[in-house]
Amino acid sequence: MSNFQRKLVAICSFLLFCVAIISNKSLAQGTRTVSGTIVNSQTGEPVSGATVSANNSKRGTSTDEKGHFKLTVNQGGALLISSVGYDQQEIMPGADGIVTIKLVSNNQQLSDVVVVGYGTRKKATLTGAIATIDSKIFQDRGPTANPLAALQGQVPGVVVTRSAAAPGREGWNFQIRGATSTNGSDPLVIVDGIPLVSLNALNSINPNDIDNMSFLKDASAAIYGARAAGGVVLITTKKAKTGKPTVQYDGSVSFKKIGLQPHLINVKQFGQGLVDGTTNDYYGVAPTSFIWYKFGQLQLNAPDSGYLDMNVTYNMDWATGKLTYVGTPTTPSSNPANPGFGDVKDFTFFNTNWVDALWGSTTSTQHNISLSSRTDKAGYRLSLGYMDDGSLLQWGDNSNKRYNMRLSNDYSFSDKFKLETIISLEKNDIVQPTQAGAVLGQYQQPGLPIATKLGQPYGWGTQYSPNWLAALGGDQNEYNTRIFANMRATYSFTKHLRLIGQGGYNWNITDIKTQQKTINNWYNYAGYQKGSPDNPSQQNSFYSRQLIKDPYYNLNAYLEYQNTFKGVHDLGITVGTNYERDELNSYTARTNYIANDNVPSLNLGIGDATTKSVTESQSHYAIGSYFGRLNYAYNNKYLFEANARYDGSSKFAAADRWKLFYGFSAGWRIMQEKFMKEVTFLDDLKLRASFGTVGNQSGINLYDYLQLLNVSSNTTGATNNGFPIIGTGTVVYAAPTANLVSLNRTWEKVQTKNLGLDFTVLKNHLSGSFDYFIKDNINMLLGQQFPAVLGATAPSLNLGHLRTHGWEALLSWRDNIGKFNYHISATITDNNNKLISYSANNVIGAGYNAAVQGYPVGSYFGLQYAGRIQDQKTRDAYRLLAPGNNISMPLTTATLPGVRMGDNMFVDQNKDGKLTTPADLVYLGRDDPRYTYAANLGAEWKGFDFSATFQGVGKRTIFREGNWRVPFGSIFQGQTDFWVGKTWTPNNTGAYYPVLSVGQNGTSYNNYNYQVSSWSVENGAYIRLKNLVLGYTIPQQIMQKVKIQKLRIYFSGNDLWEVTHIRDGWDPEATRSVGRANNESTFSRYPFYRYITFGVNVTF
Amino acid sequence: MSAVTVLIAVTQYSCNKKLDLKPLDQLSDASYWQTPNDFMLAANQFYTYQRTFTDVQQDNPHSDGRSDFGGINAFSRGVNTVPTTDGIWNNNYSNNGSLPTGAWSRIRVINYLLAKAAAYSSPADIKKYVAEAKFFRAYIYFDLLQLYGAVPLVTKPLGTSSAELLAPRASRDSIADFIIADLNAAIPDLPLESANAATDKGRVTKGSAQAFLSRVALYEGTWQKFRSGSTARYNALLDLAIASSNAVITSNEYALFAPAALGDSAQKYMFILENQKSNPAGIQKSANKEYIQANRYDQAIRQIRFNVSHTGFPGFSRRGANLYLCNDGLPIEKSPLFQGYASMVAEFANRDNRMRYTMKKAGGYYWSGNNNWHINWDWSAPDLANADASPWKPYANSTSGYGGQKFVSERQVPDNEEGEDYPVIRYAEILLNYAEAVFERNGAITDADLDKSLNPVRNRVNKTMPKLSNAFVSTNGLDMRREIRRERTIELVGEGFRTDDLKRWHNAFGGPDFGADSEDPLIGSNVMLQTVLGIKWMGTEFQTAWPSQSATPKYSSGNPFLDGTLVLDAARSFSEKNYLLPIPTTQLQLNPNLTQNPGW
Repeated sequence: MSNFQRKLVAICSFLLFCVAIISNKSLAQGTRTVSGTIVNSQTGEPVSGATVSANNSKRGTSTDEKGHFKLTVNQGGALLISSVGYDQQEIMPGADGIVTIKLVSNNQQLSDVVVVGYGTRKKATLTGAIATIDSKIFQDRGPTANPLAALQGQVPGVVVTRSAAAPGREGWNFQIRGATSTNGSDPLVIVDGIPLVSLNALNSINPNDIDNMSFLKDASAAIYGARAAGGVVLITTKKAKTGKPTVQYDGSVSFKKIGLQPHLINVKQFGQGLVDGTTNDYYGVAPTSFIWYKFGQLQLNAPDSGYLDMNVTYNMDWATGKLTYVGTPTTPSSNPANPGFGDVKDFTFFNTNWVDALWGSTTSTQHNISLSSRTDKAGYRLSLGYMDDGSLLQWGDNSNKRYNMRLSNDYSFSDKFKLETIISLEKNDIVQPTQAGAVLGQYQQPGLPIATKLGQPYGWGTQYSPNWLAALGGDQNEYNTRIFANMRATYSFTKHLRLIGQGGYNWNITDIKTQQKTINNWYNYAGYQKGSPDNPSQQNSFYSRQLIKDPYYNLNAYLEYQNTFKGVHDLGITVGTNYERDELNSYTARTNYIANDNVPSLNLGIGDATTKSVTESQSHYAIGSYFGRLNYAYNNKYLFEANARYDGSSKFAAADRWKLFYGFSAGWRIMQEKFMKEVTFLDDLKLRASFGTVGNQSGINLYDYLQLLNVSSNTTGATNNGFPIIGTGTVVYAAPTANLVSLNRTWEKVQTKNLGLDFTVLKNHLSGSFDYFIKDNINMLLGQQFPAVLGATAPSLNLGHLRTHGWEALLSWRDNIGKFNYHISATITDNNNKLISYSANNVIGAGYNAAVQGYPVGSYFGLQYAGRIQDQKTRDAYRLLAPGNNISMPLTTATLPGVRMGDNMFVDQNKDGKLTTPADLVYLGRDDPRYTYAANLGAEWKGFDFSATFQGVGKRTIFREGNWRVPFGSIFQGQTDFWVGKTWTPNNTGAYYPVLSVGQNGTSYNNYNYQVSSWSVENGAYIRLKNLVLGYTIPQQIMQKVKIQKLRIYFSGNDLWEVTHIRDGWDPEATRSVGRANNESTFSRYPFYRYITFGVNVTF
Repeated sequence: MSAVTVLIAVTQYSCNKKLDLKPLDQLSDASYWQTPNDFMLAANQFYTYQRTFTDVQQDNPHSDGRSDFGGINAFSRGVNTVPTTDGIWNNNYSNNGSLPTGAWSRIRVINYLLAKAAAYSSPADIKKYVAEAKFFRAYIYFDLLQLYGAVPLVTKPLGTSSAELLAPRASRDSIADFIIADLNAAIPDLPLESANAATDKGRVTKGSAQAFLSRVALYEGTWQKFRSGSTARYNALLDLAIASSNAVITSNEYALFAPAALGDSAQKYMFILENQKSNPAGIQKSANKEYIQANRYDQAIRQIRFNVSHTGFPGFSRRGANLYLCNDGLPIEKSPLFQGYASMVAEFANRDNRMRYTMKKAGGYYWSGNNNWHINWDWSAPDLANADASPWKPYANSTSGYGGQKFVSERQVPDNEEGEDYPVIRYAEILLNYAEAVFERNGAITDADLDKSLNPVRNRVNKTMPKLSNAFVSTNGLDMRREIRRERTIELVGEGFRTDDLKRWHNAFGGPDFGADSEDPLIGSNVMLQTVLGIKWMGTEFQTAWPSQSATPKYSSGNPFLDGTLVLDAARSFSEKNYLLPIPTTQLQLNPNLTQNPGW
């Protein structure tokens, strides 16, 4: 051990000073000539144009068309061979100076070994549905906040979606093989054998450190038992590779600009919309005394100066819009030109485009440097990473900085004992304006300026410019620190039997400091008068501090036995045990009414006790497990695997704590059969099948089996009347929580079945695989309504059966035309699901439904569109469906017209003579994407490389929640222009949108026309150029002179182009809730971006 | 192999210990129910279940607003419909799920304590909290009984597979008996008010349980009596009502609040008694021995947080106002002292003092809130100048022309910050329960019993008014039942009794014929069907002072005490089904064995 410690100390000091490696060995003198042939390891074909260099001289050459080369080298020097598309190799030529080198195609690299649960398997003998990707996928992408960002469309069966783009808050979600449960079933992500506690940790991992990822999609995940229902992702980080010490630097700078965003209407469109819309809402009679009509008139007839000071008198003829300047001083509220806004000082008519004003371009950079070396006994790799992700938001402080350090080290003490350690430090600092919500809410109404004439914050009544709220309202600083220590010891008893023990400790700390500053200077446009009251006032200023500590450890050990009997029976057995535990711990302290904004501190709250609060939360869980796997292969032809895990969880009472999960799979390598020898066009063919059961405990809370009690005490003083007085003071009381203890429910059990085919044909040029799967969540946890006499909120119960089935295909072609190497690959994934049974309620509501029997989870239901009312006869007949409706359809009465020409019509499905929900609802589609696909094209020629990735979704239905999708959905706020010029009028009967309404005069036309229906849902299908890369590797002959092994420069672009059918202006990847104000997903409003990156890769 | 089994068994056992994790930041059954204090904290929550001002001043089931007294809403009109859910039957919670507000969720919390108490090692230490739990379980079940009639009986905390979830209603008798049994079980383990430690003031006492028992027994006894119930049954219930109210009376623990310093305004100031100066004599809450059980407030530590002073209690009507006796002890129809309606204040002359202290009189001075407080409490010029909208104009902000001042704080206090207690049970009710129970049990009541019960209530603020006696009744051609009911109605108006009294007397609709005019608010048979009337407008001072009412319909039936009054609501269709609320429809779907109330 001391040897190892010395080694560690040496490396650590090396780290601390961060000195570049200078390899300065003494060189053997004298030269000799080496010649050889370089071939593809798999096909045996010669590799032309490969670079051959000597590691101890500046000489280098490249291979000819037959793969031959000849090079003079210094004595004792090794040869370094590299070629695009192949792994670099270093060999020491023998005494005869003749070598044959087999280069491994890096596309095929993983065909050798695939990381699986607790071990590795040869790809050729895999029987499960396991997809893999390698580090290449993360290259050339520019700053990548989350590795998932690079995976869109890349892995068959894995659907990656995004919901937000704010720096540090990018919302990346992924599902393996579609929905598994309405309770969620995030894939289990395991990094170097240790699970991540939360997928948030992916935000701080450096994608540049990832060597490969395996996705266990079927019963092969059963070795992870109770948490494998959503599939398992195994991330393996980079280790030192064989060869001499190398230093690698990758750096890039990216320009980021906002992507698709709704266009906002301008002052004139706003004014015209108000005038037309209010006139429509008043049934064709211009309501000249109505505030919003007047406001519209004012916008339409605004003075050229764009400014009306209400402190001087104007006369306004509201019917004609004629505005005259009088100039006598007056009070703003009684100014004849004021439509009736009592609290404003002026009116402004500037064509401020809030999208442009708030959002803009930015720059992001990243730098990664790694040092690695390997000797016979030891290898180490140190990598340092830095990323600075800039902000599209142009006001206030907003950024995401990531610092990564990862050291992986292995040392063989003897032939029998090997120790590997990985230590990683990840720091992730996120800054955003405390009042980011103001920016991400609905924009201000058209006309308001960005600043006053004098450059001050502009306030209009109770409307405050969002840019100033962001800029002056204080910052929220979030500091994430994650430390991973991972140790793995291997002891080989014999050649066949090994014991592997692993311990991992993750230490996550998040420290959040939030300050809300007082802003007390809001001016009118001229800048001489306060336009609005203080906001936030000093009383509402606050400072809060939240500290979240989340330590987690995992201990596992397993025995691995591997042997071959009589040359044909391959047997492998793995048995092990695992224990893991997480302790979440956080407290939040907050004080309002800060003495001085310049010194935010918990010590400087000057309010009374009710302005201060401290809360704490703590929880923990543990899982104990036994697991095992048995592999048997006969003659490499018939393959069989069984795996199982017996899991115990602290979430359950001792009696039902333990559960067994298992999987079986088999494979048949058909090409190994004698009768296939004649089939020459086929290179490889394998049939796979599996079934198994995995668990999901996501619907279960931590202590569900125990009745929890709330203790309530009055912390807010006399103004809280919830606490009775007993004696002379108010009492504390305790009571069981509203949630019932759930003893009779258990983990969701998901049965998976998979059938797969892998093939390689046409001299290994074309390869592919196809998988078909069925997943049955046979006891999905769903809610059930009980009679009220229960007296409590019932837990969800194992009531549902969800079946998900789908397929995925991967096809890849690789060839070369002379020195022009190219490859094309495509993946497509689909899954469909259906809630087969739900033994309790089956209630359908209009809009999004999480679970309805007979339909996919996340289904939309709505009315069926029946066209637009274009003639009076149709209208009169259709009006008869209004009495008794519950869909906001206006009634025709003695005084009200009801639906009008140009309004939408919907189908009375059940023909009961009235439009009602749920009776007249039809299924409109599902929110989860279907037919997700990607195509990758790549080529290399004379040092140039090119690749492009197109990614898309074939089918998706979105119904946008919130009022952005409705014209004047919120009359006093900014809105998108999708409807401008496209609403029905007698002169434009072919318009896409119905008659304009602004929802005033008590009308419900907008609610009626724009409700969820086959007309109002959006088509979420799209195709997008996800990534484009053009690179050039400077010829080695040149770089050798400056002691650089390899230098590559590249340009890449992300999300450069797309085709979308979305009508409301949002990005096709945006969520259904992006338009909903003030909800949990406010950050989904943060615009998606496009990236242009220039980067360099250098290897010394 | 067996070695492996043993190994797994051993490691699993040790692993199991490693998997036994209990909540760290929240109490749970794993850490609770271990000391008497734990039970006390659990019992403390029950005190949030007590009725309060919002129950009687807003449109809530027991409010007078749902009675014949000025209530104009779907319930008082009898046109309420069957809801899908309602706030009492359904499981509702407030304060982020920590405070149950629905009846069944409250019952579950109470049953939970009782279940834990049954397993507690030394029951004697926690018997007081068990008794409190039983008191409150009875309190909640009585609410269900009054509102829905027979309901399912749930006596323990249920799980999702409990049979009780699909149980039909228990019989009305068994619910009533269960309430009575809970109260009887609670009484011996509760302390007398005088033995209640200062730190426990406000907790349920023996007197609270006995008093509540008298309310329950009288309610159910009269309910049965006026619906042809079994004579043995209702007589037993009435006997229980007599015995339990008598126990309260003879305990000598309570007294009517009647400080000499407050004279005939004692009752009025009792309702707004605070520890700050809230009456001319500066008397504080400690002087009040009348509130047997109170929902306690205090401006400094627990404000009412409801605009009690400016909401006032729901409407007074002509029919209600006419119930106040003249100060010769006679009803206005019989008394020579009655001054008629010619002027706006005429009807207030020579009446029961409670009329002028409960209602507002035109031209009077009334104080409330932060701006119009009683500055010196001496009716001097500054005091009068600071009165609210003074002198009071009945036509300024009223539809009936009447106004009320019960619970209206006169001291300077911002809206919502008032701190008077809400009388959950007060001694006057118990005295009146006694009188009524004795009369209904025996068909008669002795003068001694009247002097023990009803007369002190009447004479508290009417020192000169003749006592009610058998002789007085017969001399003046009165009806004893009517006079007993009148006293109760007048004394308890605005405190959430009127609606429930009409229901148990069965005279809201189709009730027993006592030979009176069916419009009679006390012993008539269709009280809730009667028009709601305001002040007399035709031919009175109001006709000129309040011309805007000229278009309002006026009542005309030949009754000189009613004719010419404003008709506030004539659309009354209360019927037999309205005596009980309908069960929410979703509950009938969820439990097919649950039947709807008749007529719904």
